[in-house]
Amino acid sequence: MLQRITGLGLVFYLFVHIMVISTALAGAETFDDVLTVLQLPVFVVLDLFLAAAVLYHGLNGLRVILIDLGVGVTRQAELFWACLVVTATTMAFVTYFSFPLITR
Amino acid sequence: MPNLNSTQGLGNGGFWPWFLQRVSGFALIFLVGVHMWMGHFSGLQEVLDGRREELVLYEVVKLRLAQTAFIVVDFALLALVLYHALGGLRSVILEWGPAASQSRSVTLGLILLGIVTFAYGSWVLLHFILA
Repeated sequence: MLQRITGLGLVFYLFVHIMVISTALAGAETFDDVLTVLQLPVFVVLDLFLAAAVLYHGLNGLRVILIDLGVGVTRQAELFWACLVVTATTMAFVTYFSFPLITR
Repeated sequence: MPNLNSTQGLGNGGFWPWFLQRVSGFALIFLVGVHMWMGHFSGLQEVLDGRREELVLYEVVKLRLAQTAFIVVDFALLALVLYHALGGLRSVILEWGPAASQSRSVTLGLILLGIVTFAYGSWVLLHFILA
């Protein structure tokens, strides 16, 4: 279920991302203005949620591939929790190092 | 052969959509990794030190896309991420009862959306490359 929720969120983000980048078609100044707003602290926090969703979706996707290949079939639950723990730990580090961007 | 006991099974499209969804997902782990690193971490120290104003700027993207490797990465990323995203969206939509009987229309609609979005995304990338 979490794979589907993060997947749907990432599909939504993908189209928003393409629209944001396409502001370049209006010129360098417009692009830089939009990107400057998107680097405000509130958007850095949203970026952290995005990074967490990407990381979890990727790790759990690897888990699904392994299970499809017959690896770890009997340990699906442990692998699921491992995905969550790796995501949470990595995000704790990323959040720590992003702090200067959130508080600037 | 796919393991039918997996959490995902063969889904609702047969072998090839199942297989390509996993191959594209595996490739995206690397491509998205490079993309996010370049957009969110490369140059971060310069921003924190005040030597650069922002992480992502038009000129930064343009300079990056002057390199063949990044052109290949970004076009591959655009194609694969759209294939993977819309393939996943198709699976979720078709799991919903009322849509299951409209499988063909859903698939054609998503293929069309993918083609249009790839063309639009390519236009944006070419804008940076040719500017």
